[in-house]
Amino acid sequence: MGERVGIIGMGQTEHRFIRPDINHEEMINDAVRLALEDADLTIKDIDTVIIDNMDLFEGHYLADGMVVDGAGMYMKPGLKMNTGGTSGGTAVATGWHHVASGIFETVLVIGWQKQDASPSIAALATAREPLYDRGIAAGAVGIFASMGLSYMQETGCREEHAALARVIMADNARRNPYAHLKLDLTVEDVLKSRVLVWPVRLLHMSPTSCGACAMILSNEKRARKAARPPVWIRDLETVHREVSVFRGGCVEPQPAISAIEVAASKLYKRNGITRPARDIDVWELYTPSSWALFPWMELFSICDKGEAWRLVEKEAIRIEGEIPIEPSGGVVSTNPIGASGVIRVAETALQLRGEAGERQVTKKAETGIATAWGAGSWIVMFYLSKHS
Amino acid sequence: MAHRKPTKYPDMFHLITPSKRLNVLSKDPFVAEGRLAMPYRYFPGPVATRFFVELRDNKRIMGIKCPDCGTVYVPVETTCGKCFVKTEEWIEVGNEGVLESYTATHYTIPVQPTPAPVIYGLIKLDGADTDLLHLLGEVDPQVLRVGTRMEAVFREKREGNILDIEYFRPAGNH
Amino acid sequence: MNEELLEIIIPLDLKYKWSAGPHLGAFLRGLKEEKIIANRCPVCARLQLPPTPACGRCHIGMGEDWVELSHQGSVISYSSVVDPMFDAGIGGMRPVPYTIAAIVLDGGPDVAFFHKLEENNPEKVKVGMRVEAVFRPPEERKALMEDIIHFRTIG
Repeated sequence: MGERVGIIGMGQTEHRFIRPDINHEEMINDAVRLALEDADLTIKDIDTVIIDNMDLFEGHYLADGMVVDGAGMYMKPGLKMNTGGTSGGTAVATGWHHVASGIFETVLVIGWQKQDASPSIAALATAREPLYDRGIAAGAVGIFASMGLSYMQETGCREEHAALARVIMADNARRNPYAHLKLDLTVEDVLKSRVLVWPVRLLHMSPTSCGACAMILSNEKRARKAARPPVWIRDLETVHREVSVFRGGCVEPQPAISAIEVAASKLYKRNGITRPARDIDVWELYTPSSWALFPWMELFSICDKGEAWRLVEKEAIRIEGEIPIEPSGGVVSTNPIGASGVIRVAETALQLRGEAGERQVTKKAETGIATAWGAGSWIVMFYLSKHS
Repeated sequence: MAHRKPTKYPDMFHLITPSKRLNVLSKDPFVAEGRLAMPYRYFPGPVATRFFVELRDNKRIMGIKCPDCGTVYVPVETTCGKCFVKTEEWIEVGNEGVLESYTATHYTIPVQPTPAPVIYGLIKLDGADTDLLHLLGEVDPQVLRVGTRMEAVFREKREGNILDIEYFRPAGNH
Repeated sequence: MNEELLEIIIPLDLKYKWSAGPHLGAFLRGLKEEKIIANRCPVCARLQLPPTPACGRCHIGMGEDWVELSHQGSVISYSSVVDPMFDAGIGGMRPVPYTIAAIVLDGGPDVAFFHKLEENNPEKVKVGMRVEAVFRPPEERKALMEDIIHFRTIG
């Protein structure tokens, strides 16, 4: 492996359904300024900028072109990333590659989305092949419904458990000043909310948020001199596969499954992680629906198959618990999609710095896993540590 | 650790029809027409809002100044790209300026505001350091010269966008 | 600073042409002839529906092994769409409710076909139920997915 890569600065905006008070460039600029301030750097210290958002959501071609000045890209090299839901993860991974290669010393990574600009679901549906399945594709809810249904049928999990998972994430979000939905929920509230695609209810799904998150990565030489204690991205893994569930000869129930398992097993093996629940202190999994939490926990080998709902029932995933998951409140609380993957990594790094404030996990946090999930059940997975 | 078994449909395997060589690939291209139609909303934010509201309500063109390098931006920028600092000081620039460059397009495409020929000019307004791209009117492109002083002609009915200025024309001839 | 915040609505309406390519093109032309065709990977033997030029897993060209599938099959998964959603393809709201199903057609056990069901009552849709494609009359077919109106419940 090449240069060691440290996270030395992070900043995120508030996240809301609608931001009439700010344009795209200004919102990005807010996050970039916060990250530079956090790292005690100026834009002159940045060698290159990697930026990402979901194409088409804001309705203009070359979205990064319009925001150059605010993003701090003026006269610098850089790249725009888009890999659907994993975009933010891909942007951080690209920043990592730029530093690890030894070519760049300091990289600014920016994820952003302004979901007040369009009916996002219509933009999302254009990911489908236009002649074969675009006419009937209907967003991402169905895949979580199918996950939830299979999970309940194969385990003892009931709707109450998914509702409890959602309540825990809402409780966490209320302790995170940056979270979008800071709901005070009970299991009954979740079970009473409107069914979208059974068993997925409205409260099980992530909101459409506007927001941005910026992060500064640097090589070891620079990170050792950083203003804040660096958090190291020790390793990462990306797995892609065919986009559509039912295209290309695929009747496996969940294509997500193999992608996550492949990524996790490779990453764990390389890093000597034999018991993830013991070896990893904090998890920021990209769970767009509370129903996804159960398969995710099992596919990332946090527990055995069929056991995730029991850990949720025991509330072991809480901030005070032995396996804290989504202490930020997760994607179900905050989802500016292009930023969500960057936020997962930033929130994990904040936990390892011990600076997560009211949402700081109780157990000693030295290692963490952050992920991004989306597109065709693609996965980007990061292993973070306090130690290089 | 136990792995979830993929769902199988063994009862259907006997139904597989034997493969046959169907001659189905055609050299004729298959092209379908599609449509991508969506309404988009853009919030220009408070700084750009003020720029457009001044055009609409007061027929004034406003610039904004970088506190570090002193560049006055028209149209307005909230961040000076060169200095990476926030611009905050509003400066009223003149409704007149100097033509820095111009051209005419002789084809019509839907995004152009008027049918061809469309005469475009870059105008550096008095007090501004950047060029404003806009339309030129009441001009003959054959005799137009870089350096000509131009003035803004405002529309009667203004809606708070850049076309509240109908076009720029040579100054003082009217 | 002024209280007013501008909001600008920018309608985007683009026409585009989509080249289906010979494999998907063959499938769509097949629909016009009331045929549902798939192709088979020469290495792993798995079917592709719609047909593709290459097998993503074996990284090999698919060759000329074409399979015609039955119009009948079994529902393996379904989704009832009840929330109105904006559809960029029609530039407006898509009519609801409708039910999407993944259907394993007889003759193609390892591929699922993705289409609408005639039955829109989620109470009456079951995994495993038998369905059959209902094609438009020949003169109305355009070599598009819409050449199949929906799948009706049988048996």
